[in-house]
Amino acid sequence: MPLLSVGSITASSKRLQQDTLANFTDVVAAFSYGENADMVVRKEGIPTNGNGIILSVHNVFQLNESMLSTFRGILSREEFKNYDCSIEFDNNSIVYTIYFGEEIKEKKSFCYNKQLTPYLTNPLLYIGILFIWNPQRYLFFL
Amino acid sequence: MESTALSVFPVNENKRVVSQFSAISGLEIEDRHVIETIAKRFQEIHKKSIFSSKTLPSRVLLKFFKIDQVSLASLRKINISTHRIKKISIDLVSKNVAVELKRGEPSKQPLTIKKRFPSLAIDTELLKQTITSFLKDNAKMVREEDKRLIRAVLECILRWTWNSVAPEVNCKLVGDNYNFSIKGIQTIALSQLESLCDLGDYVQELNVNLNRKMVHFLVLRTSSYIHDSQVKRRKINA
Repeated sequence: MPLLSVGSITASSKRLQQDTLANFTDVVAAFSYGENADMVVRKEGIPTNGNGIILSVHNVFQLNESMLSTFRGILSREEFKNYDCSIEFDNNSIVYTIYFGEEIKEKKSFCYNKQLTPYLTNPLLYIGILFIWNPQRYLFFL
Repeated sequence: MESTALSVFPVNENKRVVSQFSAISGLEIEDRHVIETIAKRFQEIHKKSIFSSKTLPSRVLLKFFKIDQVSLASLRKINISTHRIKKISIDLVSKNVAVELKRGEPSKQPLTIKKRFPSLAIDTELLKQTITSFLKDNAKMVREEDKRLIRAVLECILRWTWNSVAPEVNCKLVGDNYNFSIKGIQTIALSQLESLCDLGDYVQELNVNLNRKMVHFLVLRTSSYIHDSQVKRRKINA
Protein backbone atom coordinates (compact mmCIF):
# COMPACT_ATOMS: atom_id res chain seq x y z
CA MET A 1 0.00 0.00 0.00
CA PRO A 2 1.38 3.47 -0.81
CA LEU A 3 2.30 5.72 2.11
CA LEU A 4 0.76 9.16 2.43
CA SER A 5 3.63 11.22 3.79
CA VAL A 6 5.70 14.32 3.11
CA GLY A 7 8.95 12.39 3.46
CA SER A 8 10.27 9.86 1.00
CA ILE A 9 12.01 6.59 1.82
CA THR A 10 15.57 6.63 0.50
CA ALA A 11 18.45 4.23 1.13
CA SER A 12 20.17 6.65 3.52
CA SER A 13 16.98 7.34 5.50
CA LYS A 14 16.31 3.60 5.73
CA ARG A 15 19.84 3.05 7.09
CA LEU A 16 19.39 5.88 9.57
CA GLN A 17 16.07 4.41 10.70
CA GLN A 18 17.72 1.04 11.30
CA ASP A 19 20.60 2.66 13.20
CA THR A 20 18.24 4.65 15.40
CA LEU A 21 16.11 1.62 16.15
CA ALA A 22 19.20 -0.44 16.99
CA ASN A 23 20.51 2.30 19.31
CA PHE A 24 17.18 2.57 21.09
CA THR A 25 16.96 -1.21 21.45
CA ASP A 26 20.44 -1.30 23.03
CA VAL A 27 19.63 1.47 25.49
CA VAL A 28 16.29 -0.07 26.42
CA ALA A 29 17.95 -3.47 26.93
CA ALA A 30 20.45 -1.81 29.27
CA PHE A 31 17.68 -0.21 31.34
CA SER A 32 15.44 -3.30 31.42
CA TYR A 33 15.67 -4.25 35.07
CA GLY A 34 13.53 -3.98 38.17
CA GLU A 35 10.10 -2.58 37.41
CA ASN A 36 11.07 -1.92 33.80
CA ALA A 37 12.09 -5.53 33.11
CA ASP A 38 9.57 -5.87 30.26
CA MET A 39 10.46 -2.69 28.40
CA VAL A 40 10.29 -3.00 24.61
CA VAL A 41 10.93 -0.68 21.68
CA ARG A 42 8.51 -0.67 18.79
CA LYS A 43 8.85 1.06 15.46
CA GLU A 44 5.52 2.76 14.83
CA GLY A 45 6.31 4.06 11.37
CA ILE A 46 7.41 7.23 9.65
CA PRO A 47 5.91 10.66 10.43
CA THR A 48 3.45 12.28 8.03
CA ASN A 49 4.97 15.73 8.19
CA GLY A 50 8.59 14.93 7.39
CA ASN A 51 11.33 12.43 6.86
CA GLY A 52 12.06 10.47 10.02
CA ILE A 53 10.93 7.69 12.31
CA ILE A 54 8.46 7.24 15.16
CA LEU A 55 9.58 4.93 17.95
CA SER A 56 7.72 3.99 21.10
CA VAL A 57 9.06 2.49 24.29
CA HIS A 58 6.44 0.38 26.07
CA ASN A 59 6.06 -0.99 29.60
CA VAL A 60 7.86 1.92 31.24
CA PHE A 61 6.87 1.81 34.88
CA GLN A 62 9.73 3.79 36.36
CA LEU A 63 11.13 6.73 34.48
CA ASN A 64 14.32 8.38 35.62
CA GLU A 65 16.55 11.18 34.44
CA SER A 66 19.44 8.90 33.47
CA MET A 67 17.22 6.99 31.04
CA LEU A 68 15.92 10.17 29.47
CA SER A 69 19.40 11.68 29.20
CA THR A 70 20.64 8.50 27.48
CA PHE A 71 17.83 8.81 24.96
CA ARG A 72 18.76 12.46 24.49
CA GLY A 73 22.35 11.35 23.89
CA ILE A 74 21.25 9.09 21.04
CA LEU A 75 19.17 11.88 19.58
CA SER A 76 22.02 14.39 19.60
CA ARG A 77 23.40 12.99 16.32
CA GLU A 78 23.96 15.62 13.67
CA GLU A 79 21.80 13.71 11.18
CA PHE A 80 18.72 14.47 13.28
CA LYS A 81 17.05 17.79 12.67
CA ASN A 82 14.53 17.71 15.49
CA TYR A 83 12.63 15.37 17.75
CA ASP A 84 9.45 15.31 19.84
CA CYS A 85 8.98 13.26 22.96
CA SER A 86 5.64 12.48 24.56
CA ILE A 87 5.10 10.49 27.71
CA GLU A 88 1.78 8.62 27.81
CA PHE A 89 0.86 7.89 31.38
CA ASP A 90 -2.23 5.90 30.40
CA ASN A 91 -0.28 3.33 28.40
CA ASN A 92 3.03 3.52 30.30
CA SER A 93 4.88 4.40 27.15
CA ILE A 94 7.14 7.06 25.67
CA VAL A 95 6.81 8.04 22.03
CA TYR A 96 9.71 9.64 20.17
CA THR A 97 9.10 11.32 16.82
CA ILE A 98 12.50 11.89 15.21
CA TYR A 99 12.95 14.05 12.14
CA PHE A 100 15.95 13.58 9.87
CA GLY A 101 17.79 16.54 8.38
CA GLU A 102 18.84 16.69 4.74
CA GLU A 103 21.33 19.55 4.51
CA ILE A 104 23.81 18.10 6.98
CA LYS A 105 25.07 15.45 4.58
CA GLU A 106 25.95 18.00 1.90
CA LYS A 107 27.59 20.24 4.47
CA LYS A 108 29.77 17.37 5.67
CA SER A 109 31.31 16.81 2.23
CA PHE A 110 32.59 20.38 2.15
CA CYS A 111 33.60 20.49 5.77
CA TYR A 112 37.18 19.21 5.46
CA ASN A 113 37.99 21.29 2.37
CA LYS A 114 36.83 24.46 4.06
CA GLN A 115 38.89 23.80 7.14
CA LEU A 116 42.08 22.78 5.34
CA THR A 117 42.09 25.40 2.57
CA PRO A 118 43.71 28.24 4.60
CA TYR A 119 46.50 25.91 5.78
CA LEU A 120 47.17 24.43 2.34
CA THR A 121 47.50 27.84 0.73
CA ASN A 122 49.95 29.09 3.37
CA PRO A 123 53.59 29.21 1.96
CA LEU A 124 55.02 28.64 5.44
CA LEU A 125 53.71 25.08 5.31
CA TYR A 126 55.77 24.28 2.21
CA ILE A 127 58.86 26.01 3.63
CA GLY A 128 58.48 23.95 6.78
CA ILE A 129 58.20 20.72 4.76
CA LEU A 130 61.35 21.61 2.82
CA PHE A 131 63.14 22.45 6.04
CA ILE A 132 62.27 19.10 7.55
CA TRP A 133 63.21 17.29 4.35
CA ASN A 134 66.68 18.86 4.01
CA PRO A 135 67.51 21.25 6.87
CA GLN A 136 71.08 22.01 5.75
CA ARG A 137 70.05 23.11 2.26
CA TYR A 138 67.05 25.18 3.28
CA LEU A 139 68.57 26.73 6.40
CA PHE A 140 69.38 29.92 4.48
CA PHE A 141 65.94 31.24 5.50
CA LEU A 142 67.24 31.62 8.97
CA MET B 1 -8.28 1.13 35.23
CA GLU B 2 -10.94 -0.96 36.87
CA SER B 3 -12.39 -3.38 34.36
CA THR B 4 -16.06 -4.13 34.46
CA ALA B 5 -17.57 -6.93 32.43
CA LEU B 6 -20.73 -6.08 30.56
CA SER B 7 -23.25 -8.81 31.14
CA VAL B 8 -26.33 -9.25 29.03
CA PHE B 9 -29.40 -8.45 31.08
CA PRO B 10 -33.00 -8.54 29.87
CA VAL B 11 -34.43 -5.04 29.67
CA ASN B 12 -37.73 -5.79 31.42
CA GLU B 13 -36.01 -6.82 34.64
CA ASN B 14 -34.81 -3.79 36.54
CA LYS B 15 -31.23 -4.99 36.79
CA ARG B 16 -28.35 -2.65 36.26
CA VAL B 17 -25.33 -3.16 34.02
CA VAL B 18 -23.06 -1.82 36.75
CA SER B 19 -23.08 -3.94 39.87
CA GLN B 20 -22.98 -2.48 43.38
CA PHE B 21 -19.54 -4.02 43.93
CA SER B 22 -17.83 -2.32 41.00
CA ALA B 23 -15.69 0.81 41.36
CA ILE B 24 -18.26 2.83 39.44
CA SER B 25 -20.72 2.39 42.31
CA GLY B 26 -18.68 5.02 44.17
CA LEU B 27 -19.75 7.66 41.67
CA GLU B 28 -22.76 9.97 41.86
CA ILE B 29 -26.02 8.41 40.76
CA GLU B 30 -26.26 10.76 37.77
CA ASP B 31 -22.82 9.74 36.52
CA ARG B 32 -23.67 6.08 37.01
CA HIS B 33 -26.85 6.45 34.95
CA VAL B 34 -24.87 8.04 32.13
CA ILE B 35 -22.33 5.21 32.17
CA GLU B 36 -25.13 2.65 32.20
CA THR B 37 -26.83 4.30 29.24
CA ILE B 38 -23.63 4.28 27.18
CA ALA B 39 -22.78 0.73 28.23
CA LYS B 40 -26.25 -0.46 27.21
CA ARG B 41 -25.93 1.24 23.84
CA PHE B 42 -22.63 -0.55 23.27
CA GLN B 43 -24.20 -3.76 24.47
CA GLU B 44 -27.00 -3.43 21.93
CA ILE B 45 -24.52 -3.03 19.07
CA HIS B 46 -21.66 -5.24 20.29
CA LYS B 47 -22.94 -7.98 22.57
CA LYS B 48 -19.56 -9.32 23.63
CA SER B 49 -18.08 -5.96 24.60
CA ILE B 50 -16.59 -5.31 28.01
CA PHE B 51 -15.50 -2.00 29.43
CA SER B 52 -13.10 -0.49 31.91
CA SER B 53 -13.42 2.84 33.66
CA LYS B 54 -11.16 5.46 35.13
CA THR B 55 -12.55 8.20 37.31
CA LEU B 56 -10.76 11.53 37.25
CA PRO B 57 -11.79 14.73 39.07
CA SER B 58 -13.31 16.38 36.01
CA ARG B 59 -14.07 13.44 33.74
CA VAL B 60 -14.67 9.72 33.52
CA LEU B 61 -12.84 7.62 30.93
CA LEU B 62 -14.57 4.53 29.60
CA LYS B 63 -12.81 2.05 27.36
CA PHE B 64 -14.79 -0.57 25.48
CA PHE B 65 -12.97 -3.70 24.37
CA LYS B 66 -13.80 -6.80 22.30
CA ILE B 67 -15.28 -4.77 19.48
CA ASP B 68 -14.54 -6.02 15.98
CA GLN B 69 -15.93 -3.27 13.86
CA VAL B 70 -17.52 0.12 14.44
CA SER B 71 -19.54 2.08 11.94
CA LEU B 72 -19.98 5.84 11.97
CA ALA B 73 -23.72 5.39 12.35
CA SER B 74 -23.32 3.39 15.56
CA LEU B 75 -20.85 5.94 16.97
CA ARG B 76 -23.34 8.72 16.22
CA LYS B 77 -26.01 6.72 18.00
CA ILE B 78 -23.81 6.46 21.10
CA ASN B 79 -22.83 10.12 20.89
CA ILE B 80 -26.42 11.35 20.98
CA SER B 81 -27.37 9.07 23.87
CA THR B 82 -26.22 11.65 26.42
CA HIS B 83 -25.02 15.25 26.42
CA ARG B 84 -22.24 14.37 28.85
CA ILE B 85 -20.04 12.77 26.18
CA LYS B 86 -17.03 14.98 25.58
CA LYS B 87 -15.12 12.87 23.09
CA ILE B 88 -15.33 9.48 21.43
CA SER B 89 -12.12 8.08 19.99
CA ILE B 90 -11.04 4.75 18.57
CA ASP B 91 -7.62 3.40 19.48
CA LEU B 92 -6.63 1.06 16.68
CA VAL B 93 -3.41 -0.03 18.40
CA SER B 94 -5.06 -1.20 21.65
CA LYS B 95 -8.27 -2.10 19.77
CA ASN B 96 -10.69 -0.18 21.95
CA VAL B 97 -13.25 2.58 21.80
CA ALA B 98 -12.66 5.31 24.39
CA VAL B 99 -15.51 7.50 25.61
CA GLU B 100 -14.70 10.57 27.65
CA LEU B 101 -17.45 11.87 29.90
CA LYS B 102 -17.73 15.20 31.66
CA ARG B 103 -18.40 14.89 35.39
CA GLY B 104 -21.13 17.13 36.70
CA GLU B 105 -22.23 20.48 35.33
CA PRO B 106 -19.77 23.30 35.97
CA SER B 107 -21.54 26.28 37.54
CA LYS B 108 -19.58 28.75 35.51
CA GLN B 109 -17.77 28.33 32.24
CA PRO B 110 -14.03 28.63 32.91
CA LEU B 111 -12.29 31.42 31.06
CA THR B 112 -10.06 30.02 28.33
CA ILE B 113 -7.57 31.99 26.31
CA LYS B 114 -7.14 30.50 22.89
CA LYS B 115 -3.54 30.31 21.85
CA ARG B 116 -2.39 29.49 18.40
CA PHE B 117 0.80 27.48 18.37
CA PRO B 118 2.68 28.00 15.12
CA SER B 119 4.23 24.54 15.32
CA LEU B 120 0.78 22.93 15.26
CA ALA B 121 -0.44 24.84 12.23
CA ILE B 122 -0.41 22.80 9.05
CA ASP B 123 1.33 24.25 6.04
CA THR B 124 -1.34 24.04 3.35
CA GLU B 125 1.18 24.36 0.53
CA LEU B 126 3.11 21.39 1.88
CA LEU B 127 -0.16 19.52 2.21
CA LYS B 128 -1.05 20.18 -1.43
CA GLN B 129 2.43 19.23 -2.61
CA THR B 130 2.28 15.93 -0.72
CA ILE B 131 -1.11 15.05 -2.21
CA THR B 132 0.08 15.99 -5.71
CA SER B 133 3.16 13.78 -5.42
CA PHE B 134 1.05 10.95 -3.97
CA LEU B 135 -1.39 11.17 -6.87
CA LYS B 136 1.49 11.35 -9.34
CA ASP B 137 3.01 8.18 -7.90
CA ASN B 138 -0.32 6.40 -7.91
CA ALA B 139 -1.81 7.91 -11.06
CA LYS B 140 -3.29 4.60 -12.18
CA MET B 141 -5.82 4.38 -9.43
CA VAL B 142 -7.56 7.75 -9.95
CA ARG B 143 -9.29 9.01 -13.07
CA GLU B 144 -8.48 12.51 -14.22
CA GLU B 145 -12.04 13.83 -13.75
CA ASP B 146 -12.19 12.55 -10.15
CA LYS B 147 -8.88 14.01 -9.02
CA ARG B 148 -10.47 17.03 -7.33
CA LEU B 149 -12.71 14.77 -5.29
CA ILE B 150 -9.93 12.40 -4.31
CA ARG B 151 -7.65 15.35 -3.40
CA ALA B 152 -10.26 16.54 -0.88
CA VAL B 153 -10.46 13.08 0.66
CA LEU B 154 -6.67 12.69 0.83
CA GLU B 155 -6.31 16.14 2.41
CA CYS B 156 -8.73 15.11 5.12
CA ILE B 157 -6.79 11.88 5.79
CA LEU B 158 -3.51 13.80 5.89
CA ARG B 159 -4.97 16.26 8.41
CA TRP B 160 -6.06 13.34 10.61
CA THR B 161 -2.58 11.90 10.74
CA TRP B 162 -0.45 15.07 10.69
CA ASN B 163 2.42 14.82 13.24
CA SER B 164 1.77 11.11 13.74
CA VAL B 165 2.43 7.88 11.84
CA ALA B 166 1.99 8.07 8.06
CA PRO B 167 -0.94 5.93 6.92
CA GLU B 168 -0.99 3.47 4.06
CA VAL B 169 -3.77 4.52 1.72
CA ASN B 170 -5.20 2.09 -0.75
CA CYS B 171 -7.73 3.28 -3.28
CA LYS B 172 -9.36 0.98 -5.82
CA LEU B 173 -11.94 1.80 -8.40
CA VAL B 174 -14.64 -0.84 -8.06
CA GLY B 175 -17.55 -0.18 -10.37
CA ASP B 176 -18.65 3.39 -9.84
CA ASN B 177 -17.08 3.70 -6.42
CA TYR B 178 -13.61 4.33 -5.08
CA ASN B 179 -12.95 1.80 -2.39
CA PHE B 180 -10.67 3.38 0.24
CA SER B 181 -8.87 1.41 2.92
CA ILE B 182 -6.47 3.14 5.26
CA LYS B 183 -3.99 1.26 7.39
CA GLY B 184 -1.58 2.57 10.01
CA ILE B 185 -3.87 5.02 11.80
CA GLN B 186 -3.25 4.86 15.53
CA THR B 187 -6.18 6.78 16.96
CA ILE B 188 -9.15 8.40 15.34
CA ALA B 189 -11.84 10.54 16.91
CA LEU B 190 -15.50 10.72 15.99
CA SER B 191 -15.07 14.40 15.10
CA GLN B 192 -12.37 13.44 12.58
CA LEU B 193 -14.64 10.85 10.98
CA GLU B 194 -17.38 13.47 10.84
CA SER B 195 -15.01 15.88 9.10
CA LEU B 196 -14.60 13.33 6.29
CA CYS B 197 -18.36 12.86 5.98
CA ASP B 198 -18.82 16.63 5.95
CA LEU B 199 -17.07 16.73 2.59
CA GLY B 200 -20.28 15.57 1.00
CA ASP B 201 -22.75 12.80 0.38
CA TYR B 202 -20.26 11.01 -1.82
CA VAL B 203 -18.42 9.63 1.23
CA GLN B 204 -20.35 6.58 2.36
CA GLU B 205 -20.20 3.38 4.42
CA LEU B 206 -17.53 4.61 6.79
CA ASN B 207 -16.36 1.72 8.97
CA VAL B 208 -13.48 1.20 11.38
CA ASN B 209 -12.25 -2.37 11.59
CA LEU B 210 -10.42 -2.76 14.90
CA ASN B 211 -9.28 -6.30 14.24
CA ARG B 212 -7.57 -5.44 10.97
CA LYS B 213 -6.65 -1.94 12.22
CA MET B 214 -8.18 -0.40 9.15
CA VAL B 215 -10.55 2.43 8.23
CA HIS B 216 -12.72 1.66 5.25
CA PHE B 217 -15.10 3.83 3.23
CA LEU B 218 -16.52 4.35 -0.23
CA VAL B 219 -16.31 7.46 -2.34
CA LEU B 220 -18.87 7.67 -5.11
CA ARG B 221 -17.55 8.76 -8.47
CA THR B 222 -18.46 12.31 -9.37
CA SER B 223 -20.73 11.45 -12.28
CA SER B 224 -22.54 8.72 -10.37
CA TYR B 225 -23.00 11.07 -7.45
CA ILE B 226 -24.71 13.61 -9.70
CA HIS B 227 -27.01 11.04 -11.27
CA ASP B 228 -27.88 8.95 -8.22
CA SER B 229 -28.12 11.62 -5.54
CA GLN B 230 -31.38 11.67 -3.66
CA VAL B 231 -30.94 15.30 -2.71
CA LYS B 232 -31.17 16.68 -6.22
CA ARG B 233 -32.07 20.33 -6.49
CA ARG B 234 -35.42 20.72 -8.16
CA LYS B 235 -37.19 23.83 -9.21
CA ILE B 236 -40.29 24.26 -7.09
CA ASN B 237 -43.26 25.67 -8.96
CA ALA B 238 -45.04 27.97 -6.60
